[in-house]
Amino acid sequence: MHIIAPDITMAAIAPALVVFCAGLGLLLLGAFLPSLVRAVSTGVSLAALVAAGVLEFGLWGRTEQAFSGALVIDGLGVFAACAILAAAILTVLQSASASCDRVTSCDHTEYHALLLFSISGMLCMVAANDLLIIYLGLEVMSIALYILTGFAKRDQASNEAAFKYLLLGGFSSGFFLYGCALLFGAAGSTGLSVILHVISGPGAAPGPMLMAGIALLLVGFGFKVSLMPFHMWTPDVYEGAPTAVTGFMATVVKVASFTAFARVFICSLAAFRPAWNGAFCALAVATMTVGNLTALRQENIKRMLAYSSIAHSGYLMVGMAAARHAPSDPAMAGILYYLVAYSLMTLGAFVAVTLVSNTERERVAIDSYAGMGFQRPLLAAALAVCIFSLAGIPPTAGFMGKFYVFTAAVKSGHVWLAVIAVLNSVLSLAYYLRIIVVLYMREDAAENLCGRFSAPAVLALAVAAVATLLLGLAPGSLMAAAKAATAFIP
Amino acid sequence: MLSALMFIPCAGAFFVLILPRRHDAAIKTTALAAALGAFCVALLLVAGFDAASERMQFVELHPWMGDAGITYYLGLDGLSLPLVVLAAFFTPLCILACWDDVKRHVKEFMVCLLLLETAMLGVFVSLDLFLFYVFWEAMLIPMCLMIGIWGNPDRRVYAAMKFFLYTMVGSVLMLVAMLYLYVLHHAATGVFTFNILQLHETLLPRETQLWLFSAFCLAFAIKVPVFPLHTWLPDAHTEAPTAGSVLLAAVLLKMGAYGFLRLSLPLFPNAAVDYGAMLFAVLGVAGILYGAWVCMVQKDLKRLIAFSSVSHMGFIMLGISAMTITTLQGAVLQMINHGLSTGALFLLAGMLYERRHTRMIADFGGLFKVMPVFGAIFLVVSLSSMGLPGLNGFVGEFLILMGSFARFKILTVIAASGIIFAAAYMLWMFQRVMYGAITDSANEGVRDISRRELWVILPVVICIVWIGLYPKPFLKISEPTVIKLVQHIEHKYRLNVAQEAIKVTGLQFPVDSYFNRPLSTGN
Repeated sequence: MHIIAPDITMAAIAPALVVFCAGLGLLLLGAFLPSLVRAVSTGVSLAALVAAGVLEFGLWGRTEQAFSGALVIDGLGVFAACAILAAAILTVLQSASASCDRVTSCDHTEYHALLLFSISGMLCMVAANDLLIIYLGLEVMSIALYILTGFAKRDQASNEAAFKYLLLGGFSSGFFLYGCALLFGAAGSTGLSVILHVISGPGAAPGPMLMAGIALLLVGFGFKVSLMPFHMWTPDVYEGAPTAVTGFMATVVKVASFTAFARVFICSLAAFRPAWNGAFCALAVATMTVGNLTALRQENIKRMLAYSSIAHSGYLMVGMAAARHAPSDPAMAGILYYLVAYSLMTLGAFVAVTLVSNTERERVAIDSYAGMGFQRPLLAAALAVCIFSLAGIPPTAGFMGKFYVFTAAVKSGHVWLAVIAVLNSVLSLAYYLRIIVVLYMREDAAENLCGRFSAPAVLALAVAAVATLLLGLAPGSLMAAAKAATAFIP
Repeated sequence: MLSALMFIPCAGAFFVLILPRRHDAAIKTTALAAALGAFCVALLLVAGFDAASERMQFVELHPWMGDAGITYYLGLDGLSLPLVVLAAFFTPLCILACWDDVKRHVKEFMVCLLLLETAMLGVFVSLDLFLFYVFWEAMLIPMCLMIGIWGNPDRRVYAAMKFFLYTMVGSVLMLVAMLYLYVLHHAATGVFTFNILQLHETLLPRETQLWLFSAFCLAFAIKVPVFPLHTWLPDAHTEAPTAGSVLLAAVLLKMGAYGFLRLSLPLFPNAAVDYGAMLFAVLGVAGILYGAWVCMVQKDLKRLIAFSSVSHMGFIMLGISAMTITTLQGAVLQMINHGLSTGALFLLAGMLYERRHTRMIADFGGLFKVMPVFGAIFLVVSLSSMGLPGLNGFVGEFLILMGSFARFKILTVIAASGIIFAAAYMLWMFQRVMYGAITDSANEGVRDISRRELWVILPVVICIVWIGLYPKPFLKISEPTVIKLVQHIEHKYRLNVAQEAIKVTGLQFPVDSYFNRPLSTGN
């Protein structure tokens, strides 16, 4: 009898495993020690995330498959995982602030456990080399997020947001799964390497089943990264969720989803580029334009940042339209750099919102930020740096990200896409500048700007703002890492 | 030394930031010291500048983002040196001018001003296109904040947003054109670089040149501003605080003209000569007349000066479009002249505002009786703005008109009438403000110019008279660069034409026949 020993490479799943077990451990702790202080959960989460980060660093430079092709250890996965872990650390720090007390006070172990589960799902997703593993990671990530969205139990908006997210997310996962099934039918396997091999083979022609599968996969991914026709859930969910969770969703979900998106489309479906590239361009234009136009009318800062994140997905899609499956592809490197820059600046903005909110309610009306520029100058300066970075004004990381992505677009011949993208940047300035105007050029608001000082959140904001500036002035090392990360398989 | 020039104001801003908020005097003194430091370095640059050489001097070249072809490349030549000195000259004057003027948030104001100076100097000395773009955009933030926070309360936010968004539209299209040029250069030479001097050598087909030229020129035309794209200027100048108005008029507008001379013309000579010359000559003359006519009906003093800026920059555009050595010399000199005279006009308008808290011409009248010294200085500056021979404005305008007459006869004649209109609105404004009887009793107690204000305005007046009587040192500095620019345009124009002929016909025409073809065209 021939027994095939399973190919288990612990290194590939070690980071995800560490995070997952920490989450389980927190759940148990919370069950047996109900009077546990929040600092302990924060500490355990941070320790787990840092440990996972160290393990990920150890994987840098390897390119191999694991678990018989189900997972893969390569530059793209490691880079994305490190970005996710860094953003997650900032989120955990942000959650330790006073205004999050309202949300997490009794159930902080569950809160942190759910965060950790979500992150473990993402770590699985970015290392996945198989459509079903991507789906697995996607679902673990999303289900934890559905619950986190509704974590403010007594807040109606939060409940509504969670319900919307659950329904729409469930539908989109269904689309994704059906797409996986059709692709399986067409290619004979759900492994990305096998699909690549089959469809780049000599006799492969895009039959209706394959095209339908690709379209459905596009829908599934499009939902997760808020592309234009599938973006309707984003403003409501981002607005209703507690701010710390919104910051988490806006950043790391996009990083993970875009990584998986890139693996599936740019890598394994590369042979059919003419089929889906036009769709990418159209989606990019639609997403950017709709995101920016709708953000112009927003009065709620969380909603405005939600629409701005939709617009940034559009800019990232410009990069995706330009990307190719080649080593050191400038578009792929640009997308990775942009994802890191975007995570930092968006998190910075959300942490600033947390810091000026207090335990009763969140400060979300833009007009209520009036005069903050001179009342709380450091906080306003950090927020202003993040806003200028989101708008893409030098010398910030946001500008460098856009520069790299648009350069790649021009290099690959999509000049008109770049023109539309830069015009959209100017359009976005109109609403980003509104925040600056309110911060600095208006007289003080009638309300009392009392958010409580909270060291971890201030640390998170400082890290985000300083990193945004530094990456804008000296992007070389991160860009080199991103370029090295594009040596990805299959 | 150029890095020191750029980053002394930046370091000054940092020191001002760490000073505690209450100590206004210390803050202002630190800011003034930083600005004066930068000015001293600028004077050292002038002293060390070799006026006979047309090459870049004080070059600093360091790798920055090598994989993208971006380097930290600074250099100075006859075109940028006068503008650098202009920027470094006006910043300490602005700080002195608003010494008592800015009362709230003095610290942030000084930080904005110093960062603005760093960005302005950076634009003029950058020889790497990416670095140029970074400084070009970075200059918008402090200016927008200055207008929006310390400007006139009624319309400052509108003016600031309009300024920012309008300029940004042109800039981002220039970014895409920059990237496209970068890719084309790589296609031609195999090298990815943003080095301006290397990009100057790229040969491009005519249609491509036209698109790229349009994109680059849009950004610069908005900045100059060229006639139909000028609508941001009156609001920005009028609503800005004095220091902001002065720096906007004296330096920021010149950045647009500098962009034309450094980038648009040498990079895309065929598009510039064949299409751009006529277009910008017409628009320039239209700007001269439009600016002048609108000036004549202005009731607000600062708005009048703002529109006179539009008019004067029209002369510079005419000079740039004619593309001969004389006119380009005139344009460069007129950039300095306009900076000095309009900067001085805004400083004087600011002094009037400080005293009477109004900008309306009708509120003044008969001020010469109570402010004789101020009146004399105002008269000199107004005459310089008008282009009176003996003062600086005349030299520049004369060179431009004389040179462009050969190219654009009718347009030059029309432009010359602009001088008459300038005299009309300036003299009429001066008469209504300074001469006549004192109609408003509030004007009787107005104090004459103080010692601090004399320190602010006299250096400018001295320069005005100096350039008017003896412009030779200034012309000598820019001469080699201007000659080199014209030669480069001619040479590259012919190379491009020959290249296209080869492509179109596949045959190698004798290149000699193209050397006899005169530079186009005009009427």
